[in-house]
Amino acid sequence: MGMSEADAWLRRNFPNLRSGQYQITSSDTRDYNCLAWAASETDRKWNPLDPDDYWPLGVTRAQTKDAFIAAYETRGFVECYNSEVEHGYEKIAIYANAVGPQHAARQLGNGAWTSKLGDGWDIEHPTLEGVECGDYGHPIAYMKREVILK
Amino acid sequence: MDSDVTRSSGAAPLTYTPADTHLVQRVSSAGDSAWTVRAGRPHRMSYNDLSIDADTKREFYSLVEKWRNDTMHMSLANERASHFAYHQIMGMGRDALPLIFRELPDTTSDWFWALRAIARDKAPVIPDEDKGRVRRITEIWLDWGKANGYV
Repeated sequence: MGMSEADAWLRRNFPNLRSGQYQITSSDTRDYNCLAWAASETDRKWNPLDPDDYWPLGVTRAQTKDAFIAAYETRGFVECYNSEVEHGYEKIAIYANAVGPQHAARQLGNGAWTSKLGDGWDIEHPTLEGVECGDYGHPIAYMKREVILK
Repeated sequence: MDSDVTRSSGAAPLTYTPADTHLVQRVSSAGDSAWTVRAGRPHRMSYNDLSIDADTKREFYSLVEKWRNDTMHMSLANERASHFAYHQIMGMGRDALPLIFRELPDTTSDWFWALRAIARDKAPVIPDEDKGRVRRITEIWLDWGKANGYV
């Protein structure tokens, strides 16, 4: 694929993405957002501050690190302290800027990361830095859960 | 050479349709892109069929264009709704509702925040089982719009 419209949009909004070092892996959709995608859910949006969006039952609806960690704990994740690949575990990274958490990415088996970007596309990006930007901030927490290896 | 494209609605991966809607993305040969306004959508009511004055329409679509260009990459509706252009759309109040409902089937969750802000205590209650399910919430809002004469 050359400089498609999707690529142009991605490179404009995520200047850390380098040509040839990321892949678009889905169509653009509004059916789910990055927070849902990090938990491998694609049928609804997660958002603690939108009363019409999903947020795990019993978890404080707040745009804070603690609330986000608690939300993913309902899906079997536990906090960990780095983004290194760990055999038998799936990791996520929670990004935040000065306002609070804004984005989450999920690690793939090959060590790369997958992110749903706003109302746009899912992409696979080799490093967490790829989608760092002012509106997402940078990773402030990591979580992991066991995966069944085939 | 520049080209006009519209965002696909999700079903077809990475495809674009010819510009038949009033919000289109313009992509330059240098890779810069921006949303611009185009009138007319053949499969729906035409731009001028709505009984809303032209100034209101121009204001609305200008604000949508600005807002969408600046926020489409953001993940959270509350963050996207904090943009000043979106505040201005909500400030248009009920005048904006027919235009929002016209956009709603294609752009879904873009508008839930504004609809709630404008409808206030008359907004429909979204059942817990539907929270976050944007297609279902869109249906609920469209039903509300029809029942209240905005669709």
